[in-house]
Amino acid sequence: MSLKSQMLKSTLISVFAFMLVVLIVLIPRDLNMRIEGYIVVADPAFKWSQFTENVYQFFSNAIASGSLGPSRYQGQSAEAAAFEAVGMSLLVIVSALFLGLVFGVLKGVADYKLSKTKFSVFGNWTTWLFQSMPDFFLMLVIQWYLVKHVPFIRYFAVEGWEAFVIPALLVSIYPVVYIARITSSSLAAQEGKLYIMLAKAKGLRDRVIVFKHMLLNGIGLILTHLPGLLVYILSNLFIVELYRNYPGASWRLVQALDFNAYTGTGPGYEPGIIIYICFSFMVLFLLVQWISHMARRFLGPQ
Amino acid sequence: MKNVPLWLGGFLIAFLLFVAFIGPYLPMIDMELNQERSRWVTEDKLALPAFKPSAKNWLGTDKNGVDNLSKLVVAAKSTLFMVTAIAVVRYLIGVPLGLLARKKRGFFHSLVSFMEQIFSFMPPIFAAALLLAIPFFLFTENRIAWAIVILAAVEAGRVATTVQEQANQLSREPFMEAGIALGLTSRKLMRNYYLPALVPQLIVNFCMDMGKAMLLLGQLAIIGIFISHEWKEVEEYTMQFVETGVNWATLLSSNRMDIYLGKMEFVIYPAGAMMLAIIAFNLFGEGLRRHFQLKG
Repeated sequence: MSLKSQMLKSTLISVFAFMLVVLIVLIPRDLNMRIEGYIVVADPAFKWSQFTENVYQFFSNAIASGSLGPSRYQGQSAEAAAFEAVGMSLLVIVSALFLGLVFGVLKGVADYKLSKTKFSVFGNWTTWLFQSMPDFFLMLVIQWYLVKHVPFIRYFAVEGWEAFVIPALLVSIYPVVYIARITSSSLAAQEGKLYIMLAKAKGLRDRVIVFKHMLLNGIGLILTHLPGLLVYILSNLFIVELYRNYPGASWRLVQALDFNAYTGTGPGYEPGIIIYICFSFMVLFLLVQWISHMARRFLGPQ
Repeated sequence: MKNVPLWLGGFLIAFLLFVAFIGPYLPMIDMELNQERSRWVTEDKLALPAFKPSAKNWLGTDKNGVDNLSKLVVAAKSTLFMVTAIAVVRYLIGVPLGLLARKKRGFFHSLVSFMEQIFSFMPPIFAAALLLAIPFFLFTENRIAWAIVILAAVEAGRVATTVQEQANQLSREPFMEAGIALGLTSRKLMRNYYLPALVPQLIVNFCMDMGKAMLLLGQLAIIGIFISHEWKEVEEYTMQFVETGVNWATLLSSNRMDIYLGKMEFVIYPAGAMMLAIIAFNLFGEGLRRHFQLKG
């Protein structure tokens, strides 16, 4: 398949998938509670009429007013609220990706080099350990340590450098180990290939061979893994934002769901915000997917 | 003894199984999870829970005087059962789809990428939360079964994509061409050519997926959406979803507010137990990968 039709196809599938997400978001969530005798009863049955009404209302409102509806705060529209939240998260996502790329590649090279020495335990094994640790536990431990023992770092700060640097660093842990793993396995796979032998025979130093020859070949592989990496980052971002009360997209999603143990999805449910945030994530995902398609085409193994 | 991860992972899994099935009958474990509402400290001094860690309660008790260690041990069985169920359902959906889509074109290929995409636009955990909060699922009597299906479905697309990728690579191997040249039906080809070659990889991935299912359960606990609950009257005219069943996720979610208060004493235990399980599954998977000599 040509690159263009491949990209077109993934776009089409994304749009269909997104439409299904919109429909899921618009499923009626009222519990229809009423008092019968001395007890409160709820009517959770799914009603088609209510569902179609919901969908129709949402789209007719969106077309008529050009807005996805109000948010929970007076005078703020859903798209303004969502835009702000996505902006906060995007900053973290992009810097986590960047940090992940730089330090991940470095860690991958270090892992590869260490695997040939007796210190190999510190290489691939530390990477493996960090990748296996569940994010909700790792974040919990880091948070606990910072709050109890490093009081001069204002962990929960909402402004100042901590507000942005802490989530970016925390979110970048998984990308770093993810990329390190890909890098080191790609380096190991190239070992013994003819062009490496040739470079060695020419008398090039090891460092030059690794960074100029082997890494350049591995970059394509790393780029094709970007979509998977993004899924990792989003899942990780969710935990970091929730633990830290960082008002980014994931945090806003949870707020928009407004779930409580009394009424399920509460009166503050904001479908507009969920749809807008999912849409921005879809665009981001599509972008990354295109990059991965192109990398496979132009940088992939020939 | 060369395969350290396999032995270590196997040992950890054996330990988890021991805790789950024999643990509740150990002497220091209170299987009934009785509440101890007060305790005489000296002749004339009464203490109220939560009690600090002591010889009687190794990890202390909660506010109702229930022993923390007992809770952890009693919860192990249902947690492991749930994680296994999620992973099994996930593979029951994902593997056939992935095999059907192995040619990377046609209807099933689109279906697989569609499934993978839907749940990529939001964190997987939020997708699960969005579905689990639908009134029908909140009130259905089989909520736990539905929850397992939902948690499985959220990442079934990813499993299908992995299987698809591997089957696609297999289809280019010379022995496949031999099978096709022999004129085997596609069912025979599937049973005798694809599956035997795929099984080791599938077993390895299955182990890692148990870890991922556990991760999802833990994350769900953090936002306080319960896997199994009942709609009960907690005060006059006030109904509430009350958690039923004890597993590590419920333990984590009932203590999640401690995170914001900087009280990490108890939260760390269920989260740590989940981490131990995840590490065990991953180690075992990694060990099996080495055992089958698959590429990383």
